[in-house]
Amino acid sequence: MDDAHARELLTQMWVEQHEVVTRFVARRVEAGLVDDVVSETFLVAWRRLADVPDDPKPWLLGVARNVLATHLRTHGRWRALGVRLEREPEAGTQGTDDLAADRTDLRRAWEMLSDADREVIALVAWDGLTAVEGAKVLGIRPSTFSVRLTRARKRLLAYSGLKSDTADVLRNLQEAR
Amino acid sequence: MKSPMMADLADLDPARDLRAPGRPDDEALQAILGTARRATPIRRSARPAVLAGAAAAAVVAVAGVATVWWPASQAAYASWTAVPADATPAEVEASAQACDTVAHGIVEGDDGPQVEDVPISPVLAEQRGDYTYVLLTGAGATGECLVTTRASGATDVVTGDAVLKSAPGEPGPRDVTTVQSGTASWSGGDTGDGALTSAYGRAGADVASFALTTTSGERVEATVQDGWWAVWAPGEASLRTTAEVTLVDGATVKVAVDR
Repeated sequence: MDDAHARELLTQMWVEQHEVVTRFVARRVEAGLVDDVVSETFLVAWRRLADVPDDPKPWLLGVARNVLATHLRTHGRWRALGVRLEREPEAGTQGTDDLAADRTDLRRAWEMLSDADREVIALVAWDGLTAVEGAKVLGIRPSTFSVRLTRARKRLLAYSGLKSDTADVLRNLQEAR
Repeated sequence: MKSPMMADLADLDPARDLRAPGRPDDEALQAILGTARRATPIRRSARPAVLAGAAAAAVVAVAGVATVWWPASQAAYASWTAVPADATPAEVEASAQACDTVAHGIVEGDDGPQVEDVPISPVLAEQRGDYTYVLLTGAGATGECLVTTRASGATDVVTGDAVLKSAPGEPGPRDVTTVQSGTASWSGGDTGDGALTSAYGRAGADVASFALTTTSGERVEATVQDGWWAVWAPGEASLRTTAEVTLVDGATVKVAVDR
């Protein structure tokens, strides 16, 4: 591949995938690190252009995940990356209607999930990936991804159905461990 | 079609309002295009794979990873044993084939960050129940690999690797040092075994054996092989940080197994 063609390919990839990669990273790391991780991800793509498949999105997200893991390893994370949740609304702005109550249940349930469960759900619900694409990001088989997604969703559903005081007791137990 | 729950979850997406379109004239893209396309090999000074030491350990901190208590996972790692069995050479070879033999790091090079691939190879292997644990090391890098084979014959592999930032020192003959200690999540495969805690490091020539205690009070024997030690146990932060080292002359000493 000559340099001109390579530059063209990477530029096209940047234009088409930059937002996807940035959002993926922003969901998993503090704002100050996002640009660095995104740049390093595309730098890897630049250095390994020959390895980038025709559909680059899952590949890029897989690389971004590895770059994130490298950054986060200094904080002791291993493989499963924490996926952040939207910041909780200020007290008083949440309202008391059913929708807000459901949202609170879901938020609480989310916080009780393991990092691994959050990761598979986020890949589908937020990153908009199919099971096949999500499996590529994690480097596992699609059937394995589907099984993990099903289990994670069941847990999320179960947790969101817990009474809030039961959930608080459970969470306190976990934190005490 | 997404379920209602997944649709509700979309509203909690922290990046749902984030817009970051890429443009051909973006400075960051131009900076990347300005670098050499082929990765420059990172040259390392020839030195033995000595990774332990306080300085090296200091770059690796332990984070509290949220672990979910879940009734269905109480049987997680059910076959795990507190006393390891040495893996046979055939098992080591089989497991090593499943393990990633490259540690990945991003380092600052002359023309910006570079991806550094450091080859690693097995230095220690042990068996606890159905799980084979392999410790791999290379020049300034380490990797851990946990392999299990399910009843279906499929192999599940979890790996973690680290390129260390500072040159560690070799332990004295009666010393034990920690390279890494912390909680990991079993996020590969579908066994759903959850978190585990592992620790590994260097052991001096006079170290005969090495034991830790779980937070529930169970004594766990580490594996000591060829100047390295390693141990793991199911659960998050499940190993206490004080270990008892038995030396070849029979003496015992307490050491801190810390990040």
